[in-house]
Amino acid sequence: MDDLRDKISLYLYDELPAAERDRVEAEIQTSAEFSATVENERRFLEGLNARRDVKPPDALLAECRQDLMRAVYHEHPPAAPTWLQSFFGMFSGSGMAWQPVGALALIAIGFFGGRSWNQEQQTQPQASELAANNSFSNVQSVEMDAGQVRIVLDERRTIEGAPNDPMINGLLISSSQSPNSGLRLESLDVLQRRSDNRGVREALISALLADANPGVRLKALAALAPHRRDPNVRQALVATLQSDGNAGIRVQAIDLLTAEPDRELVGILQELVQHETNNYIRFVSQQTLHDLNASVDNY
Amino acid sequence: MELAKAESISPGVAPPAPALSETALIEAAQRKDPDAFEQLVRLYDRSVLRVTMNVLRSPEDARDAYQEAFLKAYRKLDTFRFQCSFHTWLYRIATNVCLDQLRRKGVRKEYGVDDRDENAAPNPLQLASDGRPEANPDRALTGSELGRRIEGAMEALSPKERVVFELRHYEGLRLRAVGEMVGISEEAAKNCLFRATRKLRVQLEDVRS
Repeated sequence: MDDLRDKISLYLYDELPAAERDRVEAEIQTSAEFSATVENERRFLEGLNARRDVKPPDALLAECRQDLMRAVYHEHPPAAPTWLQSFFGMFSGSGMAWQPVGALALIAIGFFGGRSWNQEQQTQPQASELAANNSFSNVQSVEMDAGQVRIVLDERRTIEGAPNDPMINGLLISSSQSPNSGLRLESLDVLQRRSDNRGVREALISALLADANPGVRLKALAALAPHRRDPNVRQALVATLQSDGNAGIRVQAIDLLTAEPDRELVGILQELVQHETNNYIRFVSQQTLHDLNASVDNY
Repeated sequence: MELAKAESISPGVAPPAPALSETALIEAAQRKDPDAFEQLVRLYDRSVLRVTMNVLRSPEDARDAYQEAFLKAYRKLDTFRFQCSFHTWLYRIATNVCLDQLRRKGVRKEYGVDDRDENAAPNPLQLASDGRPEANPDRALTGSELGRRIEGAMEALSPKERVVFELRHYEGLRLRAVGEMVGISEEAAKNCLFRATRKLRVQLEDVRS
């Protein structure tokens, strides 16, 4: 009987195996005392429902979501696309029809690339041999002109200096616009330490607004973060928020802008609430409008 | 026998049915797609926050637990192998965060109740009449007073008992699922629930009479 009494709560929770449940039910049928004990326990457990069930207020849930997604986006900023992703990206906007073209082009690159690499491999020993005897590995072009040969050498020079050296700075700004995205990224990496300089800031803004590589734009954005109060930077952040094709970069931009919201943002945020495709940005826009006591609708 | 059904004593809600695209969302989130993760979060976060609030009884603690649980889920998402439901996996993380918080706060020490000592007599201080009107057995308790007494009694449970009781009684989850979430066997979850209800009976003895 005592053993069965210990089973009552599990019986009421319907958590007993069938054999034990049958034993409890048989006892209920035969013992009025046991039946009363079960009833008493049932009332007790039902009585526990009087505890107030705390339901999370919507505002708290919204804050939790905002904090979480902020942390997630900061933890995992968008990566710069690989050349392969960029390549397929050229075809993705035009629908499925262009994807086979992309695939064919890739096969062609592989085929001809492989052939030329093979040819290069075959000629390489000859070239090395010549290079060992004559230092012409840095010849850029050869022309015949009036019986004379003109050879243009691509000379390499190494320049060293402090990051605040005007010549170094100028070269870095120039290389931040190089066709080579890796070089642009490296240049911005150095330049970001000099973002107090007006010229550097302009180069960073230019990269943020115009660079085709999202990794470079993201680097520029990070470098501009300490200057988010600068009106020119703010204007660039707004333009990024409104037109950058990369949602991750737009997220970073809205975080910087709304870190210190002002009423000039109201119209832009209202527009974002209506048209932005990214949930997080819409959500932050709504929250900021709420904080600014502004309507989410633009009339 | 109708009253034997768990539903008759549990006001909890069933976990949300997984959306049709849940698998696709999980796979995208595993590739660190924040938008997909956000959609997953929105499927479950209201119930996760409710559980953390009910277990921890503090909005601030619940908010911390929410953040910690979902960030852990995001970071460990690539280890999710679809061997259990995502809901179970997520609740397991959330309940473990709650357990850690309760342990850090030293709930058991504070109230002098210990798993290892389940047969010991209850702390006399807990049973002694405290002079408050709601402790007077001759007087009928209002709903809110009773709620507060139950809340007080819940504090006497160990963190694990509290989480198991919360998930079974108030959330209406089966003990097998509760065991999976808390990281114990179904049998251990049964023992936990049994100890929890027994402690609550002792704590609320005067109310029952």
